[in-house]
Amino acid sequence: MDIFSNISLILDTKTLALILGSTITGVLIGALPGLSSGMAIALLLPFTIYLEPSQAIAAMAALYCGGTFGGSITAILINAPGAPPAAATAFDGFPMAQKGQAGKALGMAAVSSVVGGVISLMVLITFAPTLARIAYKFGPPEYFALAIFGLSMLASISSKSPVKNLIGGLIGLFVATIGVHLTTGISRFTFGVDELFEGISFVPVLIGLFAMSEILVQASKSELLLERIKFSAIKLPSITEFKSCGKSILRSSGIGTFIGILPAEGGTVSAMIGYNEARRWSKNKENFGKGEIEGVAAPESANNAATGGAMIPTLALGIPGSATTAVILGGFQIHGLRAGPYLFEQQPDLLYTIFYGMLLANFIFLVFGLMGAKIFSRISLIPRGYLWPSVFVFCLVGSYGLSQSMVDVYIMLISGVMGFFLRRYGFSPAPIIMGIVLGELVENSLAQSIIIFDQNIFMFFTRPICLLFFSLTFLSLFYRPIKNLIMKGKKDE
Amino acid sequence: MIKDIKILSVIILISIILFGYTFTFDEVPEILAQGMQPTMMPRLIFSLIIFLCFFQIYQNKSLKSENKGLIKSNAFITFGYTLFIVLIADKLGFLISVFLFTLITPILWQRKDYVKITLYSLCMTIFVFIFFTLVLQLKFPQGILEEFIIRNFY
Amino acid sequence: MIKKIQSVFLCFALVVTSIVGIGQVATVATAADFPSKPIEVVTHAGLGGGTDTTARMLLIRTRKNLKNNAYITPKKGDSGNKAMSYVKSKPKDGHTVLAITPTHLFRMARGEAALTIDDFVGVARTTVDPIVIFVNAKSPYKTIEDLIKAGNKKPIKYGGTNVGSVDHISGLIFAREAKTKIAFVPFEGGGAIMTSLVGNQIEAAGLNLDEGKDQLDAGELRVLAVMADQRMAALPDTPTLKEKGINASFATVRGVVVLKGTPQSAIDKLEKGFLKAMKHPVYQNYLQGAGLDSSSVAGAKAWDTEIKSIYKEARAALVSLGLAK
Repeated sequence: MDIFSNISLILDTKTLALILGSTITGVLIGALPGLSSGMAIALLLPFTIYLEPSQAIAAMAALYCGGTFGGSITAILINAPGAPPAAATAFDGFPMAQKGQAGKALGMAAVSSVVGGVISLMVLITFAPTLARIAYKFGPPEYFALAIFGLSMLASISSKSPVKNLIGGLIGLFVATIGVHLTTGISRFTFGVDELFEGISFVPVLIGLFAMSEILVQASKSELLLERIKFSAIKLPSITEFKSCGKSILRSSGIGTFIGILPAEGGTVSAMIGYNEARRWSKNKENFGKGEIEGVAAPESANNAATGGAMIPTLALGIPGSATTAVILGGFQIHGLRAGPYLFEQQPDLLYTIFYGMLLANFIFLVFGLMGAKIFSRISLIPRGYLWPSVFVFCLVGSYGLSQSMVDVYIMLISGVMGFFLRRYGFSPAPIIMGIVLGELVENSLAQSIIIFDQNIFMFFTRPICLLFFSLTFLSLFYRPIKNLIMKGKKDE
Repeated sequence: MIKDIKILSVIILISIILFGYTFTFDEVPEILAQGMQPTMMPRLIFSLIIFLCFFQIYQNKSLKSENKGLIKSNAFITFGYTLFIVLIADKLGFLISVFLFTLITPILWQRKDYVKITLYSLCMTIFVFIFFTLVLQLKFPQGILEEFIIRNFY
Repeated sequence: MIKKIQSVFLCFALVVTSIVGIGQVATVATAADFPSKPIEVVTHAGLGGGTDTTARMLLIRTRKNLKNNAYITPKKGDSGNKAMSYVKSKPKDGHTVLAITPTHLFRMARGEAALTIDDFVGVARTTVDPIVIFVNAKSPYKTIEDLIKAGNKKPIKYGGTNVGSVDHISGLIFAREAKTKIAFVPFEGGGAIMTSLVGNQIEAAGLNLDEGKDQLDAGELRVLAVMADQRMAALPDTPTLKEKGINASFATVRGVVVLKGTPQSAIDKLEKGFLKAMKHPVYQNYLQGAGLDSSSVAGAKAWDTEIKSIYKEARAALVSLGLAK
């Protein structure tokens, strides 16, 4: 392969140091709840003008990679996903940490992240211009079909009761309707609060549902200073455990890369779908949500694959594949550069620098993650009385930080209380998150489709991609009953 | 008591209230009245929630609610204290509220090593200031310290 | 033990009071030594968006020119209204600057906004980006007249960003002035509009040139007309709507304003600092990357007149469309 003939592009001390620095910054910022890699890039953007353009862009891309991985660290250790794509990692990662297997979960997260990231980067460098055109095939009707497929997972996404999962999903969908309605401009459920007009921001809700509610759960645990010493907390996963997750990791990498390419969706949805598929095909279905290592591997490889996936339309078409890549495109502008077809034809050096930068970032966080796992996992051994107040401080700062508004802090608190009671009565946060993430997409794409189809909704069935997703939806909902029927038929013969 | 009846009735009640609230939405200007109405999706969601809740109650009708045990008062105290901290964060500033929170909460959580707590609290406050305000340049409302911080550190 | 805590508290309280004391002494300053503290630029959008990036690029050199620090405060909410009410609460001393866009002006025109058009004065314009009507290159519409004719038979599916925005209103006014019909399809952002246009989901769209530039160069999109009074330097062969006798000129403009009542000397200093910053290659390079040129930059006088006229047009348009009283 000639991919590696250009590796000399990044082999100078300054570039290497920059990539190393940005990856580690990315991991640390990604780990803090509320602070995302996109935000960090936006804040650092003005300073990059003093760098060579290719160095600046490679550093931003590396920060993006590190940030996506970083989110998993806090998701596992303190049930506070550092970034939305890591939400699914918390479902099994945190129970693992509670069982004293923090090191295993962290190690698995690092390895599966790298596999996902590297696979998607290989796809990026070999097929980007062709694959990017998928983005053009996805109009509102196709996004609607995809969102419906996503919603079909609501009932099964956690091992809690399916009806409760559905109720949780609907609550999530309701939260997504808050704000101004896209096609008519009517404000809904804003109760006169200006900040709610543009919709509820997702990050404070996420921090509340996971971290804040966990603080309340921890507060109501009465055992006085009764911390079990977790000798095994710093142990890394074994080779057999990696092998057992291999299939899930590969499947999730594929899912993540594909969904990452679609501009309207990104890491969060990929991770959720990756998690759900891992659960669907796993032998230990019942163990999911209680600390199953596959439940960490699947979402982590999916959300890191989505970073490479999201770079595909960003670089090949100049359409941002996610919120963070939108900021990276801003970085192109600052340097007077353009992404798009032109980049591949006329500036291959720049393209390769970005590619190597991201590849290197993946290996840096692998080393950092594996070595750090031993150190980070000790966080789960910090006495509760110090750990959880600190978590609250990060919740407070993180929910305020993104849009610098007190309203977001109150949203975080309210979601925390809601999460506390819902969890107490056996509702899982998974379908709620899924509902919020897909809610806007499902409603907006339906409204847009109706206008595009001149009010004739049967036009959905004239579109091949829609039909594909509708049949997938049908299969995923009725796979088991149909299989049972067939089995029964065979028995009768 | 039927299992989960309390939480399900609360959800049903809230859904009914919010369903009613959809009737107070502004009217859609004529020029924009195309396609889906803004009330359609919320009403659909609430109807489904109410239906599913009743379905769950019906399903659970023979199940007795298990004894979950009371929520420990510490959870309420902690929540009340976080709420208080957030309320004063706007007026006194983030730094002071971070300091107060990290100073008092460990004591609420039955820790007794006061010297350590004070040290911890000071370190946290300084860390938040250095990392978020100085390094990341995120501006928090600093209340009574605002003028001082703007003049000396921004 | 409790005594220890008490003494810590006491020390703390002492430190706080003394710090606040210093702060208050330092506030006594006259307009002559403007700027006497860091300048706050208030934006209405999240980090990394167009408004945010423009403001950050502007500030890089402004800091040097004014020999003073400057920082950005995002206040998101209600189409810029939150940012406006925040600025309103600040003293009129020139240390608080509002980054303004058509979003703010349209919000004001809808009524009941925190500020009215007479509450502030323009300081400088930072970017101007006319709205360009794009169609798919494979579509039968070769000229703007083709599109208008087609719209008379069946409303054109016309994409733009959210309802009530400059994209939306410009589309509606174009349709009214050209005596044609559009069915407006709102999207979440420029990228989604462009992909839907290339993917043939919609028939036409009002975009900024930058948003469709790559696809235009790649031969997937075609430009029909520019909503401006003069042709764009980057599109010398594309007619303006005005040339075609259609009175619809709309652009995404960005600039900075301060509250009315700010001392003129402060405004002058700010204007000078901003204009000099925007002449610097750092900013010019950024403009170029965004597909714009140096004509984007304008001084206080021109910018102030422009805001007022945009507001007037926005108000008239909204009232005539029944979207404002």
